[in-house]
Amino acid sequence: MTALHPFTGLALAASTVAVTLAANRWWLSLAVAAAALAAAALAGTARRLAALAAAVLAPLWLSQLMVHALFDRAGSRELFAAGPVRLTAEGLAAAGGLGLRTAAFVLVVLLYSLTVDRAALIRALDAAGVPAQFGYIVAATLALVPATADRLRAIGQAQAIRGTGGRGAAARLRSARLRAVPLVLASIQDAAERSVHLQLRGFPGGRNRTQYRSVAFPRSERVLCVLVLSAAAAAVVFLALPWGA
Amino acid sequence: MELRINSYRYPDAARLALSGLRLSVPPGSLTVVAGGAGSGKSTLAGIMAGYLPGRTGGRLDGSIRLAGQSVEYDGGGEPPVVDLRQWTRHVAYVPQDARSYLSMIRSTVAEELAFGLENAGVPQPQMEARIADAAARLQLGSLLQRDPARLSGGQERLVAIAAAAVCGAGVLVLDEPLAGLDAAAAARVAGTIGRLRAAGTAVVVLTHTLVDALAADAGQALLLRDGVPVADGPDAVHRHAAKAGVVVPGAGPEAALPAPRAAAALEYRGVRYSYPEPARRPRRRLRGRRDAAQDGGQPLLADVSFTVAAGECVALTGPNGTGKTTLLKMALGLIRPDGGIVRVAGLDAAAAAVGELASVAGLLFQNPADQLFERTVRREVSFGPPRSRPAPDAVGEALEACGLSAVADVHPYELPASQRRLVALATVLARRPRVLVLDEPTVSLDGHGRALLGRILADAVARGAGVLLSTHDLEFARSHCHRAVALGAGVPAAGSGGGR
Repeated sequence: MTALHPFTGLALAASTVAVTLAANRWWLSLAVAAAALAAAALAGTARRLAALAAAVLAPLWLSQLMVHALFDRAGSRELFAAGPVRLTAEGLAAAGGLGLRTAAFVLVVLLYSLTVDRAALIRALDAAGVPAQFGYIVAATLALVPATADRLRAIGQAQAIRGTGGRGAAARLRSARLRAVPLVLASIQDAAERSVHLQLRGFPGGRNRTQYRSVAFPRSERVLCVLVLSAAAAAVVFLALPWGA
Repeated sequence: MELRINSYRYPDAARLALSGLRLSVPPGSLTVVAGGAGSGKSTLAGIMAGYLPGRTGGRLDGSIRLAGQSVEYDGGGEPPVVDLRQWTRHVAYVPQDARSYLSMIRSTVAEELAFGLENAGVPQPQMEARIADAAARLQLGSLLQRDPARLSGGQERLVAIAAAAVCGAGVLVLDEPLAGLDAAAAARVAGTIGRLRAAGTAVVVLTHTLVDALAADAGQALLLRDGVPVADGPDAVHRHAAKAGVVVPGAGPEAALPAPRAAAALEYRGVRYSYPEPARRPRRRLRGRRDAAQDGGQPLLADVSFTVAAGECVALTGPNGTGKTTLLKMALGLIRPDGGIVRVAGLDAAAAAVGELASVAGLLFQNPADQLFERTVRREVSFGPPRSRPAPDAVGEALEACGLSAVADVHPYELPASQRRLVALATVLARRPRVLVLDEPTVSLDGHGRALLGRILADAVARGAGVLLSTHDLEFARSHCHRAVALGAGVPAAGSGGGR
């Protein structure tokens, strides 16, 4: 996606997610999730995508499993029952389908945020007339993970040379706890200082803001965006109609 | 720009931050405002830059004339708020912490330089020309395509100054513009200031060091102490500067250092290091050296060898970006060398755990923001897990040595930059390390802070600790270190017998 205009990537990601969610077919969700992982592998971020997606999906899947499968009241094909727990084939299928759709959604959104060129996205948003502050918030949000990781590393080093750390799970847990408060305080301090200097550099500027580097949005990609979004919208409408689903 | 500040008070502050100040800054002039820590320089900078008092609750009694317009302040709690968008077209301000000046939402230095121009609506071809011009003047050509988040401390400052200068504001306010810069970079900044003045820009330099390169050229000078101007004019400022806590080159007393001992405290032997290739960062092994096969990035250190003896103070010098910080961090095991050996008090730094190295060595980071994270100075200095927490008497001693006993219960971020640096130093001293590793310890320190640092180094050496410090301040190195080791761009380090 890095070679495409950020909006093209966004249109592709949004269309894929919309159609997958509307279609509610397990095989489509599975195919989209697999395609997202394959695309990440090509872009060299498969490992990061998998790690981030696992962190987001684990609690979601757990809650879906509990709500739809473990305490199912409607399903007739009972697989297991003990006290309030009632596991049915229908419940399991519902949880599985929902889980796959969630996975497809999370993987596609994360893939886009990992592969999009942040700076290009801000420039594209600027060029599209979106308020500069909004562009900054989007950029800062996308930069949150790497920036927090950098700050955490710096705090970790400063604490490590004062004797924290060590081997074993307990020591790691203790160091992680020690880093939490400084991380939040340092982030707030940094944001406060930077916001003053952003203003002193004339940010957000007025209507006559200019761009030093603009992102080319080729005609072919514009056409592609319109086509993809239109097709996705048509597909969603079709699927939403009684005979579609 | 004309300033009349009868008084300025921060909300809830007992004393005035500034009072009785008159300053007229004609086009093309160079004004040096000197003062020690807490003298009111940053407050003055904030008022000139237009963000003080703003909505911060500060009370200003006085007036500012800028570009034909006048703003009157009556000392009340609801001062007029200037339109920063207009103000910044006339005044550009680079703070002491250059890193916070960079927007960090641009992916290259060139785009970072363009940030202010974009906000001001400068057409693209003009931006291109101005950036090329500023880059040529400050010799930033090789940095233009670099990621601003991955610059060395000195490079950050150069980029910040260029980003301010490129905007073409009539008044340029620079807070400690030469701090942390090597001699060549400092000369480029001084040259740029000269050219900007020739083009009509008024430059105001706020500093706690009377650097010859700037002080000699200054048409007017002002000395601040506790927020009050105590001397006016270059000669008077020079005469009274040392007493007001300003560093005056050539005025430092030279203490005789005891001879070093024979035992090695810190040893670098054949140390090599290359930057990992940005696209494919090699995964480092948890312990030990990096895989040689994974090298192939840009070489930074090539075969560096030298030893710091117990009771010896060695200065590490060299241009910005030549690997001084990398070399220092290796002593605490925070960066592993590609090849060669770093030995700290007998421990192999590549093999030992950071915690083990931390029990014998202490490191002062270049930027205190990387090192301070507690709520009060005392908590900060006492920080440590139960078994390796500094003893209360060591904490008291470190606070005393760094002149911080009176501010032990203050939040570190509420202190002026010089004292914040001393807090970071106290955290190192409280652990009573046998090896002291200090990254640019003189940067941000005013005259009083430097005097304290000098005493701390002398004490450390006298009790047999080995000290390795990086610095661009050759005079400080001469008067406080036994010798200097110079790192050059891409060439092996050569031990030079500078100093005494």
